[in-house]
Amino acid sequence: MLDKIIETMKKDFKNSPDIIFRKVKIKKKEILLIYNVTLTNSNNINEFILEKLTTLKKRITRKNIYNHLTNIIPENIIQDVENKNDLYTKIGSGFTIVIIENEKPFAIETRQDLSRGISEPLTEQSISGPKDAFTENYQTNIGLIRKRIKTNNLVIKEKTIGKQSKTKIAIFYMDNIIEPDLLKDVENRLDNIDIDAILDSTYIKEILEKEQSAFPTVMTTERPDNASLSLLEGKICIAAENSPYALIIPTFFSDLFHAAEDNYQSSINVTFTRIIRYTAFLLAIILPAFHVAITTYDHEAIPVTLLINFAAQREGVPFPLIAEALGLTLVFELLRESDIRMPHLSGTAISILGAIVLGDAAVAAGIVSPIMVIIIALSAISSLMFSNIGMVNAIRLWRIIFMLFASIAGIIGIFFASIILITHLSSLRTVSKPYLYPLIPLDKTFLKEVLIKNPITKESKRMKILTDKNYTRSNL
Amino acid sequence: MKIIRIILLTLIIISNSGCSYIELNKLAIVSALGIDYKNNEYEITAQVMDVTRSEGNNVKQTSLIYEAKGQTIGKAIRNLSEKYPKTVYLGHLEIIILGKETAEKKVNDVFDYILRSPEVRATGNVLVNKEVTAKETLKPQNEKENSFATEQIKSSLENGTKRTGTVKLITFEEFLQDYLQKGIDPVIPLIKINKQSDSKTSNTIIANLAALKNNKIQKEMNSEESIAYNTINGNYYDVVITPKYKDKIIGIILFNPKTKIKTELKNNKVFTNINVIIETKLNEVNFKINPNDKKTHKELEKVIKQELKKYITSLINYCKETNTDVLGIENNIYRNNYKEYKKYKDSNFYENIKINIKTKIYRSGNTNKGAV
Repeated sequence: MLDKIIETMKKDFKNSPDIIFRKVKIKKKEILLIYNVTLTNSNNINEFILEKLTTLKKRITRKNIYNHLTNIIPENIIQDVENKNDLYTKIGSGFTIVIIENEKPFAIETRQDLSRGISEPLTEQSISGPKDAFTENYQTNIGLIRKRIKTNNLVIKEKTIGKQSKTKIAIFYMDNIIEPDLLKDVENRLDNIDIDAILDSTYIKEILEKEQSAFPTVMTTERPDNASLSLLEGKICIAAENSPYALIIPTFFSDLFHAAEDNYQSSINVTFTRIIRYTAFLLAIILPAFHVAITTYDHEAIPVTLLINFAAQREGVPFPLIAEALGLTLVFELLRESDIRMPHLSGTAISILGAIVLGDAAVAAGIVSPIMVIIIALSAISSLMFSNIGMVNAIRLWRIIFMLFASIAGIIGIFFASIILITHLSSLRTVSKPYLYPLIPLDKTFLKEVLIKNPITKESKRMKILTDKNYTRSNL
Repeated sequence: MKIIRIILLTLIIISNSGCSYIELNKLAIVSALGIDYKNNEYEITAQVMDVTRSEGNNVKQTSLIYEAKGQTIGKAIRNLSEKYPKTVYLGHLEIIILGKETAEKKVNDVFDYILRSPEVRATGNVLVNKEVTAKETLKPQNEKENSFATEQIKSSLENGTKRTGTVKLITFEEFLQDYLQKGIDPVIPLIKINKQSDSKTSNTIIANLAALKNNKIQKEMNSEESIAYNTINGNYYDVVITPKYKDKIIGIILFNPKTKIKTELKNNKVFTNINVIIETKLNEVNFKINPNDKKTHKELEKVIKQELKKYITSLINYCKETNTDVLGIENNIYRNNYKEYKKYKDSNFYENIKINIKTKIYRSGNTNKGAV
């Protein structure tokens, strides 16, 4: 009887080597165990099943075993197997199927933890503050947030999205802070997703970012402390199975200028750093364009000694200035892309190659002018100041747009490009909220906070755009 | 629709920008311009900053001098391109030098060109050589300097304004403001070539002012008159004068001059009060005095007042002689007494002038006794 089952099952699994069929004989009763050796923990099998069965004093029947096990181990670990399909899914999720002759099979969870442990954040590093990051394990991620906010007001709603992948999605929010309309809007959007598979939370990010823009309107974070802070501000976090990134909704433009570090440093220093970040943003976008503009159209803007210097450097360079600028930008992007894809060991080789061959040698050969190398390098370094990769890429795109406008019309072109950038940014929405808040619509109380970080003792109010109740943070 | 928008946008940008695209290495950067007038033609001498990048990344900077002729100044400047392959660019023009003949006949034409031309930068300086042509002024003066040193001239002009008080740092823009105003005759600093006795080397000297009237640069002021002019206009930072006290020459520093000119109209005559308030310091006293003694102070102050009065009187005599109004007394009447201005327009402004000077010695140096 059991042999027959083994035979049909083997046929169904097409003789996969990782499916193990094990017959055990306890108290003269034959029991069949089926499990996937790669997904299960053999300790668990020994401990939960074999040991318990051998110590069972009653007769070996399904009912007796079932009752015995539920008495000593948590109930949800033992599950009924409804049909053949369910049996296969259970084997795939790390259960061990127990079949007793002539009786209905049941499943016991013996799952092995296949994910890596909690590690340090890789993209949002900080010197001070907590150093744990989300992992691919869904339960761990929920735990990392839950252990920071212990109140029962933290609500976790679960949804399953993906016709094939059946990925679990968790929506986190604070029940006593969240604005119901925002929650309803996000839930509606999630319910309407009709997709094969969600392999990472970035899939959801892309679906939620309806408007086409290079600037990220939904932020990803791998720091549970960042996610918790956002929840307390009245935002929504979304975590997906198998994804080490949580989404923060809504994300305002000014949020991209805040780093994880900001929450753990003294407010004066943070304010200073933020000013540098805004300067870096402007430098990254405008600097090459400005150089192109003043050296091809508006020469009067350059002091005379610098003008002679620039002219001397341009001497003998065969390409027009804009071609030189775009070429160097391309070289930088090549270096950056190859540096990201390369394993760390060969990364050094690329840096040396980039610095010496493409920088120094190109200047010495007279293909590019030294000042252009400086300008592009300065602008590139400024753009790398942002930890959000979406932001870095957006800056790259707009830098090129600005350069093209500057090459057509000089400083007037830069003005035009700025107008386009500002209209573009102010027309964006993050879910249903204005992207440029608190600038548009103007909120004077929080406009200051874009640039200046208040000390914790003075951060007493939540943003009114995110919450209409409970907006007092502290009474200090 | 989107494509139409993009095309429209590009059209707007291009129509707004003009076609002034030019790369830096295609510019002939003119740093100094000499303007001469000879045989009914303008002769332009341009000092072009030429840069070459030699091997090994060294930048070699040389100044080249090119000449061109034309019926008008603008035409002559365009004609420069016949000799120099790059586009002439006047956006960084630092100095314009008017030669002898231009200074006598064609001053208005030069300023008309500067005012009208959008290419010329408004913050350069104008200098006049009353003795030789601009071409000669722009030539390298000795073997050491390989060209006319624009930067040096600019800084010595600045220094001269601050420390000697005999010249006035004035940009085209400021100059034109005076030039176009009613009732003020503007002044221009002078540049001279001082030939050394061995005749191989010579120095460029920037000193003293001259008034401009009737399309002509007038007679040169001497240094005392120039100091008087700058005192009344409050141009300098501190200046040394050397009056005589008890038959010995002493050095006095003048600083912080404040002057008010008041005009009164009476009996068809213009009465002018020039009230000067100035602070002074002792600079050099080569004999024993007691500077803490109030009596000595009074005496010294009296000497300073007399000396300054002499300077200003000399300036007034200059004005009478050349029939110019460098102090702007006519302008003063025009502004303060517009109703009666027409009546007094042609009267003599420099006849009844009263000079009041107030001064106080603030510092007598680091020592009371002195070394002598």
